[in-house]
Amino acid sequence: MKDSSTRGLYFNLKILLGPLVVILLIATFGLYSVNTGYGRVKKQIEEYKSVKMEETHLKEKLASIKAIKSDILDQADFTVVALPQKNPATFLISQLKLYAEENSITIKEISLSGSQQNDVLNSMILTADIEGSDIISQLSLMESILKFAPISLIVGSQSTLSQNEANYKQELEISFYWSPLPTTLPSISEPIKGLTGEQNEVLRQISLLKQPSLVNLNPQVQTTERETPFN
Amino acid sequence: MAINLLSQELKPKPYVVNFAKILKKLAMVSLLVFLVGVMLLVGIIFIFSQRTKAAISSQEALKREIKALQETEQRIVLIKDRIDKIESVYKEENATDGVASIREISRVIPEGTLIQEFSLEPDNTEVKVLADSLSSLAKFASGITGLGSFEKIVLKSLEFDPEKGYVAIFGFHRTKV
Repeated sequence: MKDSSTRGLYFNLKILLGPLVVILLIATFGLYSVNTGYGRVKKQIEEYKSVKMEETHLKEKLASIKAIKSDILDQADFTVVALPQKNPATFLISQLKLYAEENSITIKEISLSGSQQNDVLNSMILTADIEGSDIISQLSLMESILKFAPISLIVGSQSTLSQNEANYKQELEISFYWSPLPTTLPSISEPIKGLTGEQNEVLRQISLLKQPSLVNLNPQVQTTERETPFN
Repeated sequence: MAINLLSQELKPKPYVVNFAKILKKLAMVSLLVFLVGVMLLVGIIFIFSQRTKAAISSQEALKREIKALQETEQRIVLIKDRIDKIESVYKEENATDGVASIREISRVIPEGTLIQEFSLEPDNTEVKVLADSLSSLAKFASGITGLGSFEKIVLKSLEFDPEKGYVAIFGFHRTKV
């Protein structure tokens, strides 16, 4: 009797076991799939979002580069002449001499001092002792200095009429500047901002500066043949 | 007609049979949900990976285009760098305004008056004037006050030299723009 009831229980369990195992297996795989799959989907969506964002940045950058007006780009050379990469003392001195001569002013002495150098902006002070017959010529010289490139500023000046009232002696202090050129470009996805109104105004002022006049020394044409070429 | 020879006691109980049927249905539904879920996950991963691939290839094309315009970028970076630095140069303390002040003052110098000395410093322009008479000095004072370019004109000193005349020192402060 006991044996037949045990066997009955066995048959009861046997028909339940199949579906129960299937449900357990599905539940186990389901949990595993949800865990792994959700992680993968999340990662994939995040990757897509970041790639899409970078694509948008690149599109913006391309649009900003294309929007740059060519006439602004043409002025790159002016800006480099206005604020050169290397110390422009020789340029400045030659321009000063040129304009002094134009205004009938004699330069007695020129000295350089007060060098301030850093990674961003370097400066020096040029002190010139000059003599002119009147104040107007001295004013014209100072105005010329302010109008030529490379950029220089008058930081101080003292002009005195000589004892015999024949001329004015002036000590002129001019600061001038130079700065290293940028060595790196912004990140490829970083958009380029255009020039602001203030920057455009500075660019306009720079383009109005007189460019330094350079003298080209061409080799002389030898018309006659030399008897001793090394003499 | 088939005859069941098994003992009735060995036959599963009807409620167990019913429960087993329910479990079978549940297992079928679970399997269906599982399969649909897996297909959905695989589908989402596939769609987004395709979109990511497309976005990456579009990025590459954009990068190539940007590289082709690198000279333009270099130029604008250079211009901006120079302008930023030039702006900071213009903000430095200087006596440039004094040049314009002396130019304006020189235009109103009357006869009998002479600028003997001038000095330019940041925010301070000083002019030493020599006048042969008080009326000449008054004309000069009237001229400079009429210019309207100065916020303040200070008479710093006034001396009388019997040999030269009146010597006055004026300090000029320009109107802030």
